Amino acid sequence: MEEKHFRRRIAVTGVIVFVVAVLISLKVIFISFDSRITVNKNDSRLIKRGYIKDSNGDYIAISVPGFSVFANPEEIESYDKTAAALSSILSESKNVITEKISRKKKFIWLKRNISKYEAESIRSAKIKGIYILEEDVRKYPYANLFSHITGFCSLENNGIEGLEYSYNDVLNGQDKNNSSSGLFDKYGSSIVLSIDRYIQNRAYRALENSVTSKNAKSGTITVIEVKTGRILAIAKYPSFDPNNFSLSSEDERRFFAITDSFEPGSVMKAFSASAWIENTKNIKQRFNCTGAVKIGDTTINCTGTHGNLGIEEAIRYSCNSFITQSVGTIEGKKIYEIMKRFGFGEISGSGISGESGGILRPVNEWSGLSKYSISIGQEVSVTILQLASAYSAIANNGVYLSPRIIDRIEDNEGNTIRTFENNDSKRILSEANALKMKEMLKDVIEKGTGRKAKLKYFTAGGKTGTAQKFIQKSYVKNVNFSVFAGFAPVENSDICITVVIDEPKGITSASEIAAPIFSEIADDILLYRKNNVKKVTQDKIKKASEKSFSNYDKLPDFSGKTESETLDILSDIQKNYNIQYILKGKGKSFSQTPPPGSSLDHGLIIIIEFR
Amino acid sequence: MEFKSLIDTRRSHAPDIILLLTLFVIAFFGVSMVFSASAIKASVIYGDSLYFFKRQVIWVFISFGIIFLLQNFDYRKYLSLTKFFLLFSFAALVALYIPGIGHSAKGSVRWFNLGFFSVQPSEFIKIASIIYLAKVFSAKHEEKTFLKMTVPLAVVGIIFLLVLLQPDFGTAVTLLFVSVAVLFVSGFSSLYLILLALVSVPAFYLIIYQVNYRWMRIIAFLNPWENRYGIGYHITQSFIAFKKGGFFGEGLGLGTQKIGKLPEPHTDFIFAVIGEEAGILGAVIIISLFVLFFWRGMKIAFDAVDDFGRVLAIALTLSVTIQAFLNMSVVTGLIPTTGIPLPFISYGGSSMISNMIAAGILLNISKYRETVNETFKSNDKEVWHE
Repeated sequence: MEEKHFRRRIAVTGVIVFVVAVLISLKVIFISFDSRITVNKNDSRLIKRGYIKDSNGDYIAISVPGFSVFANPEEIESYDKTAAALSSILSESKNVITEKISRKKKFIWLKRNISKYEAESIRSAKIKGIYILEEDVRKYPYANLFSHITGFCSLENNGIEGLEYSYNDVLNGQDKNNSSSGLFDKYGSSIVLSIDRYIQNRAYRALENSVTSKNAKSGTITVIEVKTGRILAIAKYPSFDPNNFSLSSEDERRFFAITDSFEPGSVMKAFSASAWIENTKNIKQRFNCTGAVKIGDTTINCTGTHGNLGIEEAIRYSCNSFITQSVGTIEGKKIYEIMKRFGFGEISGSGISGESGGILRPVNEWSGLSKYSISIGQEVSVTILQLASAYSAIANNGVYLSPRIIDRIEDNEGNTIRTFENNDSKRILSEANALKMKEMLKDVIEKGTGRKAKLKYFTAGGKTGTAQKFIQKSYVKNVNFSVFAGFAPVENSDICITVVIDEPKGITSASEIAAPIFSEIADDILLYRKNNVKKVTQDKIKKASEKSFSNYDKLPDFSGKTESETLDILSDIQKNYNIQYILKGKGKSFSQTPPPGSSLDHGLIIIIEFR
Repeated sequence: MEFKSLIDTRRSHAPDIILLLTLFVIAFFGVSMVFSASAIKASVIYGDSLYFFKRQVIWVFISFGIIFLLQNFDYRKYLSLTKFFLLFSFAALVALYIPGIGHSAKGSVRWFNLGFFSVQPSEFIKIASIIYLAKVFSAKHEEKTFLKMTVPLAVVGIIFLLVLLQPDFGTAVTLLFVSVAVLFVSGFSSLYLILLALVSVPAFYLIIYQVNYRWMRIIAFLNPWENRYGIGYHITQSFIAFKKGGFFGEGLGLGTQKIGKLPEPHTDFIFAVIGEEAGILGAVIIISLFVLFFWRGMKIAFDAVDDFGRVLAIALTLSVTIQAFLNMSVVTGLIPTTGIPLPFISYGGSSMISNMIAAGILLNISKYRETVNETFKSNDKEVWHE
């Protein structure tokens, strides 16, 4: 070989290499100035959406990596074979898949948010034109329990309903100007709720039981912390699974406590009575109940014939006659004012989206009958949340606090960036009168219509209401809302619980339907709250002592375990580590993320699939 | 031959220190980028964000161990080892198709699973083929005729096809480019090369058109934006990565395109992660480092003491450089996707070790330089060639 020749050829190669290097560099620069390339900072897939946590810090909405399957129909060789293979893996109808993959498109989603097992099956099946995309998926570990509160997200991780919707910008970090540094474009903030997972669960289970056994349309319970206005639970049954919200019906998704108002009936008597004792000159005044009162041309029937009675008995037995006669002695304006002060007729500002304000018409729109109707809970429509807050105000010795569901907002590192506190507490009833009301409401449970609401360990006060539904211009018998609003303990009240069962079948009276639910859950919740403070410290001591002989310092292998065995292990791990888990499917554990032997860290999210 | 005594071809030099330093810089940068690109994936899949990083660090250490050994191993000894290399290569390529031995991943049989790690033999076969080509084409007495090309080209052609069938399109294409480059530098007439190219056009058409996904890749390449949610998704995500990076980049570790957007962010598309996190600046620095690598390799070829050394040096240098530029061209959308790792940077033991073997051999060649005095050298250059 001639060396000159060789050198020249190497030199030529060198020039080519250099030219290619320059070309690639120019291409890199060109890409940076290519206007077709749009970098969308708000692309929700680049955002680590914040969590929604309960007041204990448990995650009730999280974003985890998930899988979606899409097709490029142009690449598919056999529609029939492809659809057959996919339909068995995805358990979808073959016809639906065939229809999708035979469209004249280059891209079509086949199924979003599939399981890891399904994704792996599709990958290993190696079907031409079928692809798997990994993308963040919103998950709700407690499924139906918080669904009305959290709402849910679109597949693009934007909130559609509930707090996911109303706090979408906060959760996606778009309320902040600075795009935060880190692995994602933006880290959303997390929302910490006042909701307590335990109390929510207790309320939900009670509703589930009652609504099913009474064959009712639905049921709602709200629990409010009297001294702060914090909503500790707001449960509705039937509920839906936000992980599969598309499978739910509109009725299931409806957040009755917030979005709907209803005529509450007798529970309103606590407020008309408050109006009367605030304004009357003689609180000892007695009226006669003959079983009915005639107002103009209209006769208002009473629940019984109570004879000559004072305010205490009137509340105790829910006497329509006394209430209507008593409000007859004061101005309608006074009734309106007190109702307004209790928060009726306007939205409470709880921060939950879609809140209704109810209907409380101003005095100048009242008919001659209105004052009397409103005083017994007709011609006025309220939301369950308004009712709960109003009773809470009585329990709080006459100081109204607007209800709220969010305690604070945290950044992605867990630092509090905003807290929500009640600055707008207002006295709406003199303390003396509030205490009088509380005593009367206590009597309702001790001696009156609310006897079935009696607690084992605590004193309680409350009021029943069996509100007939106004359907097509008339009230219908036995189509009722069964309502109980109460608080406990009577002195130094801690919680206020409102129970509403919509259309129970058979016995419909609130004394028999709603009151027992109050009794069923209030004891448990109060005991839990009493012990919780102690328990937390005890738990900490226990944790510290257990740490040295912990069963698990690494993630165990769950394969082949049943769901309950898995749960046992997970709760064992949770004694030492603040982990979260998501269980999918049914049967025996088949796959887990992260794999066995992974180190256990606080905040770790474990996903286990069963099949 | 009597003049040979005037030339000292004993190993009398230190290896090319600039080349070695370049390798250090690229490899160090590489492991940092592997960590950045893989941490999320690693923690999601393995629950250990350092999973890929730790392994890559081990490969780098092993690689530099291999470099240390090979720079001490006289490259002329490969001349007699060539047939063993070829035999092993064929055996390995055939064995891949024996069930239970070959390990299939992502729709191809390219791996041997050795239990603790998987070996991708095509990477090593590429080096064996290059040594073989360098041997046959540096043989002095041979005339560089079209016929003379045929036997070695047939041998490499079969290897090429076997690698292609795995399918490992990227390695096959690298091998093809290197073969053509070896033919070119070893003095074959350009006319022959053009003839060869014309012959291979229909073959290439078949190779690409017969395999549907390769054809789709070409469509994706030609029109990425129209297919940006389909087959063009990955390349457009790569563009977005560079666009986001701008001039200085978003900062190491701070890129977002590696999360569920770029395919294989820690292997084939790591250059896009570099583009996003280190910007145009970082990308151009990496390109420059490979140019530097090429320049040192070219210098080693110039200074080599015999034809085998010359051809081998330039072939190994080109193998690394071509692979690097192919990878970068894919990632920047200059050519369709081929699936090829970025040498010394992408995650993966086989690629790292095979490229470091190439570098080790280069360093050994660099140790043998002619140390005749300048006056003698300038008088008669031809003296070293009989």
